[in-house]
Amino acid sequence: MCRADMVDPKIQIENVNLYYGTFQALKDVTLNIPEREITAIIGPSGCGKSTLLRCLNRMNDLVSGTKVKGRVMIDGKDIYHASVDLVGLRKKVGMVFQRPNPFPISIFDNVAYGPSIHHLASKRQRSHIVERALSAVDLWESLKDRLSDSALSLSGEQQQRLCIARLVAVEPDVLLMDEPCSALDPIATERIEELMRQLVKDYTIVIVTHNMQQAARVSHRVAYFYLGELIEFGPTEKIFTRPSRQETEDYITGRFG
Amino acid sequence: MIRLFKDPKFQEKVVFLFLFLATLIIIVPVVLVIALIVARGSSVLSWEFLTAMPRMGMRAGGIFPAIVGTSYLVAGTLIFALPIGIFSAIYLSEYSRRNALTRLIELAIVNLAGVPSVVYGLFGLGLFVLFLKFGASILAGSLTLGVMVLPVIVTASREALQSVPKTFREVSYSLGATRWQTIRHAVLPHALPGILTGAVLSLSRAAGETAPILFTVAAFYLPRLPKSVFDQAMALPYHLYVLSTQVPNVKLELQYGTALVLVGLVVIANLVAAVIRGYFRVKKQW
Repeated sequence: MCRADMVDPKIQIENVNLYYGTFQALKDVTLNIPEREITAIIGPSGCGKSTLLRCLNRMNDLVSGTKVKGRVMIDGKDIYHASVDLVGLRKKVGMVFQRPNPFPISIFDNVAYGPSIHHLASKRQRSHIVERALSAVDLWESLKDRLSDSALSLSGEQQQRLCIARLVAVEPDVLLMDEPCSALDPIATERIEELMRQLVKDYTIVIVTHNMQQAARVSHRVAYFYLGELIEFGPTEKIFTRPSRQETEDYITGRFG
Repeated sequence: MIRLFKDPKFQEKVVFLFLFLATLIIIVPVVLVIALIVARGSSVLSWEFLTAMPRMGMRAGGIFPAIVGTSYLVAGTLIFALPIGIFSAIYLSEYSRRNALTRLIELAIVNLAGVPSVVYGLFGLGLFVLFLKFGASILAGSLTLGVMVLPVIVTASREALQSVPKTFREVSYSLGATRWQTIRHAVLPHALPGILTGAVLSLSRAAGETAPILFTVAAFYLPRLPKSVFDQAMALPYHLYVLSTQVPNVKLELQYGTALVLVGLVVIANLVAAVIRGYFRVKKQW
């Protein structure tokens, strides 16, 4: 399922330590995330999963008192270097949040939000972008006649798809997903997972999940975190069948967490 | 009897009655005031009353210059106070961190809101009329009223901005928007109804206050329209004051008619804002 060697990792996380004020949320994390694979980050609440994810598009910058040491390289470039353009970074590394959070505006305007802010296209071309983005998340056929309806009229699953479409419209390389299915029912969850399998052909996906079955079903590699430390990282099959660390086994077999 | 008072169902009824009466008492004066003004003032309402100059030492004719003057003052007030109020609300809500400076600003806003309006009048006289040499003029009056309504606008706008969910900002940033783009496209549109409420409240206050315009703009009797912002002007609340206390032998209907026009203007402005707010509320929900 996943390539044994990792020739050219898309994201290299090297000795990252992250502090919220005096609290250390990440401890010396080193991790290579391969291109066009789904990497799942699992672990109990408060283990630093979401924090690590938010390191990758520097959303942690919005939390005052956050300090990051170490290096995070995407395509070989350190994203914490002073010269990095945050706008460019976040265009390239998009994020899907826990709860579907479309803006309370029309479906079309939601998808067009990114393109219009980045002046990616003229008004006419924008409808092409919207069509392509909605097609990529399998919403186009069902929504093409009601693009001016409020995004809030959609079901939870459709809203989450719409949020992914909104992201796809700015043509990122990496999709960060922070428990994208936690507000969805099992059937919707399965369909979002199917969408992830489609999207991974074009995107590098990093997903944080509380749901171990989800990590087992959808990911190529799994990283297990506990109290801010990376305990184990490896191919999904290996982690779930013969983990090399006792702690990992305890967690995935449900003995704790 | 005592057992009756301990009965929870009885208590429930008593409490409900009390709360309901208290609410009713709020409505009574409003209804009475409006009923009185309409009953006594509607007889003088006519096209001439609204569009003609006052005649015979304001004992006859219309109140056109006062209507125009108040409109100018309200417009001038909003032109000065709205941008400054909204911009500072954006700064306080979106840019600043909580520190000594912002706490000082908050304190200033609270205090500004508590200053009696006649003090604003004196302040306007000192700063705008005399020191800046604008003279008694629409400019000085608008600026004075503008300073007076700033706290209302800042507070309302700030609350409106802060009620926009945090996720809107996060999503916008995560899509690569800058801070200003985020404010402009993901926050401001959704805060607009609340900001509008502040604007209307301040508009009503600016239209109705007498003390701040007393020394800064209001003309006792000026049967012509102002030609520039440096002219004095008549204004409805001051005209009403003059008719009621300074001019002998004025028909009572004339005073009530003037009050009716003033209240009517404010009510119309409120209604317009309510309609716009309702329109936004239907369109945007979260």
